Amino acid sequence: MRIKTKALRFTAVLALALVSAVPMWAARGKADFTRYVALGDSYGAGVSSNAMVDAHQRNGYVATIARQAGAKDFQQPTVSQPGIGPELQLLSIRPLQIAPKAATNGVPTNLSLPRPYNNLSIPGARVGDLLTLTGAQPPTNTQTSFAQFILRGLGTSADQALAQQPTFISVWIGGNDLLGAVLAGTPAALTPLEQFDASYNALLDRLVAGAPNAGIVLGSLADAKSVPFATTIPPVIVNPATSQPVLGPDGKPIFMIADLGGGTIGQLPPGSLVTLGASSFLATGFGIPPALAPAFPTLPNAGKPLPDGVVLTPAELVIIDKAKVDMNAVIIATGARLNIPVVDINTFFEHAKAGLDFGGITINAAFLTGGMFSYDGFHPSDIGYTILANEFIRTINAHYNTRIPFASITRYFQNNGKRTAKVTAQEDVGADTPFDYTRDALDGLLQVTGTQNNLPVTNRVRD
Amino acid sequence: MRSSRFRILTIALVTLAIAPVGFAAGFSIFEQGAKATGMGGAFAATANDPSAMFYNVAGIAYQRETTAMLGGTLISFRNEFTGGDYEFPGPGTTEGFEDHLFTPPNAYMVIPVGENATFGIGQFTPFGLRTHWEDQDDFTGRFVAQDTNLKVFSLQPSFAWKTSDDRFAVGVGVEYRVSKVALERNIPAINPFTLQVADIGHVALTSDEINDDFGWNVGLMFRPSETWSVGVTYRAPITIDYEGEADFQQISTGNPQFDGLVAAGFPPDQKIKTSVDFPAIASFGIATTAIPTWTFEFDAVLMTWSEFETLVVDFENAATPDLVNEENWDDSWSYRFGANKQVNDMWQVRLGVVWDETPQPVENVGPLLPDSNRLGLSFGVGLKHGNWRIDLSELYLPFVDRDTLGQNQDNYNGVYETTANLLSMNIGYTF
Repeated sequence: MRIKTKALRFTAVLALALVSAVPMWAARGKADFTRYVALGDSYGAGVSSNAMVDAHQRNGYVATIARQAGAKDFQQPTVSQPGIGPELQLLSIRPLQIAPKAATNGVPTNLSLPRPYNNLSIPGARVGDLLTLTGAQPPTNTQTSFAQFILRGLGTSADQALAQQPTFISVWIGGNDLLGAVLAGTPAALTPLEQFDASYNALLDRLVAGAPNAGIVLGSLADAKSVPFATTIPPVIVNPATSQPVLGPDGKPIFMIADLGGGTIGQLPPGSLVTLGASSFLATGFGIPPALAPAFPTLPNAGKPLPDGVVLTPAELVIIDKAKVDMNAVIIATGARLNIPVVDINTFFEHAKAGLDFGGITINAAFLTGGMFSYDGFHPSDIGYTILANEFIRTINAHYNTRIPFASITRYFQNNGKRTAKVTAQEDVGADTPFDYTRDALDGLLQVTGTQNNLPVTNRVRD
Repeated sequence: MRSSRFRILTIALVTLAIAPVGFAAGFSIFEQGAKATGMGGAFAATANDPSAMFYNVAGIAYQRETTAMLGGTLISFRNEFTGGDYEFPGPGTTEGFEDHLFTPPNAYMVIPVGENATFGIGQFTPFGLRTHWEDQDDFTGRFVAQDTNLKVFSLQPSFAWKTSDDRFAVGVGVEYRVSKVALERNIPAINPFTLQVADIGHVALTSDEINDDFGWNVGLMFRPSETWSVGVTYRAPITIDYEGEADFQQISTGNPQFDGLVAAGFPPDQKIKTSVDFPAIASFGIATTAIPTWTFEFDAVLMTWSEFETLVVDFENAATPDLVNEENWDDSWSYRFGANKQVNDMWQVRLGVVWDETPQPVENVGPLLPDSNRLGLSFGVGLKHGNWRIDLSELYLPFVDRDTLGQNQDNYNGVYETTANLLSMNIGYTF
């Protein structure tokens, strides 16, 4: 088609410019990482394997974005080994043993920084905490404890972010408001939607008003079923000798018994999730129906139900799913209202669950073998954080017309280089033993995520 | 039926033929004679030396003296892969091929019979591929491919006949094609003790030395006038079925527990089968000697690479998953222009230009084979002295930079830059 008049041609050029410029105009501010500030929760803090520890903080998604974008003098509230958690390690696969690296925590190592940290993410924080916690409150729970050395009494997260005159802000918050329900095993732990909506909008309004020219990026929230903490243990009785489900007289697997909520004891309906938190209970026989208990004479608690806090019934999952949809709608609406791009974390985790391909390597959400998650089954590994950072970078580049380079997971190739002689000796690895994600591991995770979960003290080793 | 003596001879010849990298689009190789290569491979309508058996078999009908010709091509190349703006292997990554010098040989003999017929036997290397990555145990694409090696060797008895007035010639060849293929790569897993990517094994897939099949080809030449010539050829597609061995070698991760688990599920060495669909090649050439002492030729060559749809390696052990590579190549054209100047009775000089379209779709461009469009410039000389003839040519073949655009099927993305130099020489003797 030929364009005849000059005016028409000008209009066409203008229209084309508008269309091609949409990504630049859609996002507020610009992506200048001179002073990059991050607000978030334990994911933002770089928690991995239950611990906030420098070795993983430096590889968290926030630190990775900062590194890739060339952020200047990017400071984090670092913690020495073995981290505040402390960090879990894998001791043995068969039997599976995951335990803290040490009995005592590491200590903060960047307390003397004479200005707020660039990374102000607080493990355990919910949206509302970013407008109220200052680090001056007494350490009565996870958020307030971590805030003591992250916020140091210098003001709220939002205050300290704005005090730095940020040129770019990432805000990925809400994970505890939503997935706290998975860790607690009950939708009662969800932040009420009205409260989430009000806090989220108030937080973003505050940031936009205080840093009107800063570029901002938000993150949405992932599904309950995207973390191995919720998906690893099947809700049916498994024969420890064969790793196969025990079949009932009808030839079908037998579902575990649990407190289904409000003290109602019964078999878990199909579609229920049994969290990693159940592991130490299962190891002593909890969840085995009374009729089957005689078959497990060595398990002292066979015939007793799993506590409510380690299972999610389909009815509970419906409520949590609805909360996810509603909270993500709030995040997306807030982003749209303020012209802030939103990283589609929900879709990303769906893809990660299905498996992401990297040059012949598949990274997925399987516990221990998938590569995406750390030993707590809830927080990402270094590889997982790298891929997450790339999702943020992808969104920033698309909306701010930048070319921030992606981070490469080749950093986490163990790369033992040269071929060795063929391994011929095969160890006797034995049959699968019952899955044991220790009670210590669970307590650590609940601690680091600030989850209230009134589980019975049975199996507890540490206290 | 092949006699055992024939088989032994074939093995000896195949062992001599060193596998080259693909030097025309895909993994075909059109450099099968120094004269033709000096003319940019535009030779289907000229075809006036024994390499006609490759370029247009009808051409030997016009060759009325018993002639033997031997030669080869010295191929060197530079290759660089950079990670570009993509997530994996990531910006800042650079990789390159291992240095190899390839010398695909060729040999031809034509024997005229009576006034208008000629027999010939030719040996050439119409296909071949070597993609061998430098530092293959650290190469970021090592879980896709470390070293890919396709050797091809062809032996072609030929016969051509022309009309007494030289206006028309037809030739046929029966190509016996022998091939060997090998593929190496490492096997990754997440080491649960480090939560990092570990190399847990290395697999080498190697076919037997001899995997073979027959194909046919036909060529026509038509000379409507003293100074014009037209050549048309068709070389039929050949599918070669391969049998071979998979050698699995476990690599220690440094953790005995994990190594024990890996060992328990590690695939055993076993027999494998695969097959490769080689395309048909159809050439259309027109040449003129209207300007005295000059020959100009233009060829268009079609390769039916759409035959190459999948590469499947079938493992004998049912527990070992088969390896399936989607190829889905497209047919491709090559356009070639060549000129030959007869300087005097002894000397000829030649020039050529070739544009080779890649048949490889962008999703498939990866560590196994990173192909690209290429523009070749050639220069050559020919010297005739008594019964002897020597031809030399140089073909400079830069590939157009190939960016995978984030679409590689293994999510191994970046930009491949390749440049090749091909130095060819042939010596001929007329009896």
